[in-house]
Amino acid sequence: MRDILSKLASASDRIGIPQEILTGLPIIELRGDAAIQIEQQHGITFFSEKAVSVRVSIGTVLVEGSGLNIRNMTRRKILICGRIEKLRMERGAE
Amino acid sequence: MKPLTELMLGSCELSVRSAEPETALNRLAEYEIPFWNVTPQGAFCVTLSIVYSDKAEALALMEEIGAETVINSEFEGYRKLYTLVKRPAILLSLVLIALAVYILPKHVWFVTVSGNRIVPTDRIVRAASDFGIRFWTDNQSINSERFRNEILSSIPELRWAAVNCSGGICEIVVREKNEMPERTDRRIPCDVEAMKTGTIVRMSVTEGQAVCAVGETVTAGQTLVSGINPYPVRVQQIHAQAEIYARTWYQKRAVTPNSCVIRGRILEKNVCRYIQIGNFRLKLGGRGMGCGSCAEKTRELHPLTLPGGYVLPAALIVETETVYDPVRYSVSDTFAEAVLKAYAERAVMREVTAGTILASDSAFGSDGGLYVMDAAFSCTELISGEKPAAWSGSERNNGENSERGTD
Repeated sequence: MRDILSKLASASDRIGIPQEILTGLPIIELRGDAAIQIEQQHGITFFSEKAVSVRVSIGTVLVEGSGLNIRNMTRRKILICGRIEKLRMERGAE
Repeated sequence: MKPLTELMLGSCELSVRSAEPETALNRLAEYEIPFWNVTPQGAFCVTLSIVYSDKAEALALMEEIGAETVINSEFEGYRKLYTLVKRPAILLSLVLIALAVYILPKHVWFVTVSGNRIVPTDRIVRAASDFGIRFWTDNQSINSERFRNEILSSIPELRWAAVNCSGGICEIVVREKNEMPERTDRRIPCDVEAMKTGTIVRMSVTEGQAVCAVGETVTAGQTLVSGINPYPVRVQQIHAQAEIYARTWYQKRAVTPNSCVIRGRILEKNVCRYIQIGNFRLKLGGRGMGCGSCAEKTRELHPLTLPGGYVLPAALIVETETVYDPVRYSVSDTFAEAVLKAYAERAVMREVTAGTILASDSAFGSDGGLYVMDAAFSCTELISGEKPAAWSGSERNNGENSERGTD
């Protein structure tokens, strides 16, 4: 899996397009401690007021905090709002 | 307040209860059903909002995965507008409001006049109507300068006029000519003459030479005070002034019929009502009848008036026709004599100038259905009046040879 991703990354460099488009890597945008937007997500695995777990291509993104809620969610993008205290990436065998 | 998109598209708030609420959310995202404001309500329940049009599809998806869904609230968005079609009163009100805002202020509704003291307002409004300024005239077609030229030529008492249109009110502002009081020019030589025939009782000569005396009887047109003073060297012309009172006499004849027909009891009364809008008249009810010999017809006009005194061209007209029983009434001679005497005295007082009635004598009688009074009045009044100075040929000189002329 990693070899495939590295080959795709070098190919995207040669073609001149962003890596994440070809490789499907997640794009995580943290806005202060109030909101986090994750693009190219593959669904949520856990959701509560204190923690939200989002599945991505390379593993799972775990967001911990308080008062968390999903502002909006589409097929590929999710926006989580609330008081964010921890952000963790857990690599998985995907 | 809801966002604009939510107001337009509508929204639906759902409560989804399931063993794994995350599965429900993933399912909605997978089928590209947008949702927002996801809030956990415990371990097995979440609330979320979706677009109103996706409600059926979302409920079907939830049912597929076995989740229990409850609709907390819904808002139809633009679909609410369709309900207006079923409420014609609201539609009509919106149309009337649009009409009132965009169309009605562009036409004249009321015409007001200001600045006039002597010329009646009705006369100015009628003149304006003749020149095209009336109810429902287009404001754009009113030309203030052309209107001023036209109305000044039709009403000579005015010296300036202008028209201002503001919304539905057309105001005509006018200024009237100031009539200067007539002044006596004392540089013009004149004589004082008698305006009426009479016997002089009192004289007061301020300027000029008196050619008559108290006690003399003078006729109308006779010179009383001369404005020409013949001096040895030259003739002096002056503006003669005098107040001369004389005794005058008047004779009057007054007649009146010795009986008349008056209204007795009411025999019949009919009321007819109309609505008049402009020149169009609509009968509401009642019946009219031809007026007989002793009938009366009255017409009451109740115009539709708005606050501020503005009168619309719509009115309720009530016409009342009353038929009376004619009764012949004989006038007593005592009453007739008193009435005729008072009438004759009023007629004399209208002719007397700054005077009073000293004595009167009357003869009263009846003649063929009439009462006749012949009265004679003796009065004292002012008889003097001014006229341009009279010249005789011998008195006209330039200063060297002067010959005193004789009248």
